[in-house]
Amino acid sequence: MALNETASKGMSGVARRFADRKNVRLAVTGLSRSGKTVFTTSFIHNLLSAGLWPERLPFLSAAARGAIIAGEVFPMAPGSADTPRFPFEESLSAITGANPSWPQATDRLSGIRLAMRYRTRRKLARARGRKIQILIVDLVDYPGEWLLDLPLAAKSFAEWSAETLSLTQNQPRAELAKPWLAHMAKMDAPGRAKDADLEKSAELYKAYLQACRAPEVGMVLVQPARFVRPGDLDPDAPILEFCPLEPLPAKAPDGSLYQTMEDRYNAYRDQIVRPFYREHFRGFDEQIVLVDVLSALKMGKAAFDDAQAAIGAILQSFDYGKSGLLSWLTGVRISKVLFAATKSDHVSSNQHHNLKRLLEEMVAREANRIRFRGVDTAAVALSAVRCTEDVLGEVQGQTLSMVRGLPAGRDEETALFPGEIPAHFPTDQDWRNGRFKFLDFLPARITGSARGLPHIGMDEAMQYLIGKRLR
Amino acid sequence: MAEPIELDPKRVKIAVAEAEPAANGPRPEELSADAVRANPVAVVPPVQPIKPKRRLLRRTFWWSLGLFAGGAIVWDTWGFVSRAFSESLELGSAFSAVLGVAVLSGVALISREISTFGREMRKLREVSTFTERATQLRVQGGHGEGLRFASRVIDGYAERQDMKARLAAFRGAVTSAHTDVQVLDILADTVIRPLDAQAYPIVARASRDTAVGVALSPFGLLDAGLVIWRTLRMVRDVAGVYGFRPGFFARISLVKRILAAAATAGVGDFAADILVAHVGARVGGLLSAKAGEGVLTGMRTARLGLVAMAACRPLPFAEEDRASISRLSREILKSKDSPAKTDAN
Repeated sequence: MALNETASKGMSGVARRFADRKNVRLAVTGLSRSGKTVFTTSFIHNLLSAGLWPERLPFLSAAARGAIIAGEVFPMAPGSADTPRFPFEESLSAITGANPSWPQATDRLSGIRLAMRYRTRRKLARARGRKIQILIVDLVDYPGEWLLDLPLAAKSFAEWSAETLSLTQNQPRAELAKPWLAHMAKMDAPGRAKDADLEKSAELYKAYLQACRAPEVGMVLVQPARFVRPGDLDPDAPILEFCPLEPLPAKAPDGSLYQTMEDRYNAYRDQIVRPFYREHFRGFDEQIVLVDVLSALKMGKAAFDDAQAAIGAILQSFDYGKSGLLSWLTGVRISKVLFAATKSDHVSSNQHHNLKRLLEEMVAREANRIRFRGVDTAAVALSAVRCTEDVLGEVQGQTLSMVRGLPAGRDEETALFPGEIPAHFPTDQDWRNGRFKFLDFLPARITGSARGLPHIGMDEAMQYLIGKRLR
Repeated sequence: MAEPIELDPKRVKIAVAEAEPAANGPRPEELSADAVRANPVAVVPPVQPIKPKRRLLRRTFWWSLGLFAGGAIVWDTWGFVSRAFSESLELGSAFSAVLGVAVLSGVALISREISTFGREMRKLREVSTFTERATQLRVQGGHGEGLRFASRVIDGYAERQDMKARLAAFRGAVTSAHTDVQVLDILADTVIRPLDAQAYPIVARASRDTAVGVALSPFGLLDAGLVIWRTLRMVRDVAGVYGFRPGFFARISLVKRILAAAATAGVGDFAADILVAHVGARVGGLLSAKAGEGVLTGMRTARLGLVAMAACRPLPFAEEDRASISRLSREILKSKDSPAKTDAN
């Protein structure tokens, strides 16, 4: 069955090389709060407006040469009919409304399909009289935390426990994990499992995960993800009641605490993680990885390292490689990866270069691994929705490049110099408090939003991801 | 290292005005031509004015000849007018009135030429500072200067009706977040390349005219006259497309610079073109010697036209749209699809 599925996917891959409509599945990857929903909204909206107002996307060559005719959004493809529609209009109206705000945090999976009609330049198609072609882009939005479950698909309970427990060795996790670890020390793992113990252990573990995610701590590598964002699951279901355990010297007897937890972990992995991975995280053609470098920078060294580790863990789960003519055998693979430092409008434009350099350094290991498989990678600093403008401010006789915008929770605009973005990892000593100050800006009130949301670098990202397909 | 700081937004000013045209006033920043030229970053050899070598003998010859001819004309005219006066007062007055009008209008004509010459030459010099500055911005890869530069360039086109839409497209596309290189790319895309598309047909027409003219003309002197006249007109039209209206002297000077550029820069860039030209001439030569000569002359005119484009274009040609004969033929084919508006003058 699995072979059949790959084969049919692959055949459609071969067929679509010759068809007038091309389909591309774009993986928008990013941890929670990295801006996936806003990126998807801006991506769709800017492409929808590109037919009538191409000037907003000067670096998307199809738009620049006026080849895009129009676009429209549809629900997801047949076959994934159970995927709810991505709330594009709701997100858009939140951003462009009278009181602009960011869309609600995503708590479930949704998908959308964008179709674009454009005039092709390809000689073969033109010669056949098919000057107008259609490109279909499928996008999926989901809670970013769920991505962190993907690595679990290939791990046993013992492996996962060992990794998770080793994380608690370091600060600030060690401090946060104290109540849970103290409780676990009293537990008798090979002994008989009691419901109360299972419940209490899972509860304390959940509390630890929640504490890690607190904004002032800023840890992101949190597994299993459904513990903190259950989605459609009942948060008190037994399948969500387990926690990592120290390995036992001998095999635990049936009905023991260890065995029960291992069973639950396996159930979680087999019934939740693997189907989710299989249904929604395969068959991507292109990928954009959104990284909130600024937040990581603000929180300090531990958060920065943690974000780096989380990105590394996630990207292990995707298939990279050139989708060639034989892709019906091997399955479709991601053939292009773009790393994007999001929210670049929180710093003035002359710092974007350093922001990009910092991102490149942050993802260097993953990028290298991906490039080894013959896949192109690139890095860019972008803002899906630009909320600030660049201004110059005079501070003690020195002119500083600042950004002006309306921070969340305030009534008046402010002008901010957020600190200088370094081009390299700061060392531990450099990572002192107060070096950076980033504010969460709200979208500016946009007039004429039909012309596409104001952005920084979206057109470059589009050109990199789908530009060639719009030839 | 500066600490993060918040300020009252009323106390700050916009960093870079988003490519608004400099409103009725001083331009944002005028670079002295020397300051830019002294900068060693420029990689592309700019079009240099030729410095004539002082050749004493030749100068003596021309000056003396000129003095002699001028003297002869003045002497003859004097004699003619005085003879008319000796004939009758009315005849003499009529002739001298006509002569006076001729002299006055001649002086007026020349002074106008000289004044536009100065202005147009300044504009041309500005173009060469533009290209150098653009190259510099590209090499530096900075941020912020590009918009200032671009607004200076588009200021030159602000009054042209046919450019309104393009300038609007440029202003709609560019934001203060774009880097200098990106601003230059957008400027080239939205404003300059459409001008190229207008200039190519002009060059192509001049090339065709000289080729046909030389092939058909019965004697050599007519060839030369035709080629000079047509080339001068082509240079004027090409310059007009890029925003100049050079007078006679400015045009001569422009042609001189173009010839110098064609002579020095041509070797590498146009080697392939010359080959094409020769092959064409050989093929043409099979029909008749005169036709072969015509093809060669046409190619030469086309080459001059392309160099004229490079000399008048405010941005240096990027590698992918460098003017060449093959590009010219492609543009001509393209313009058949959508006839470009060519009479910009």
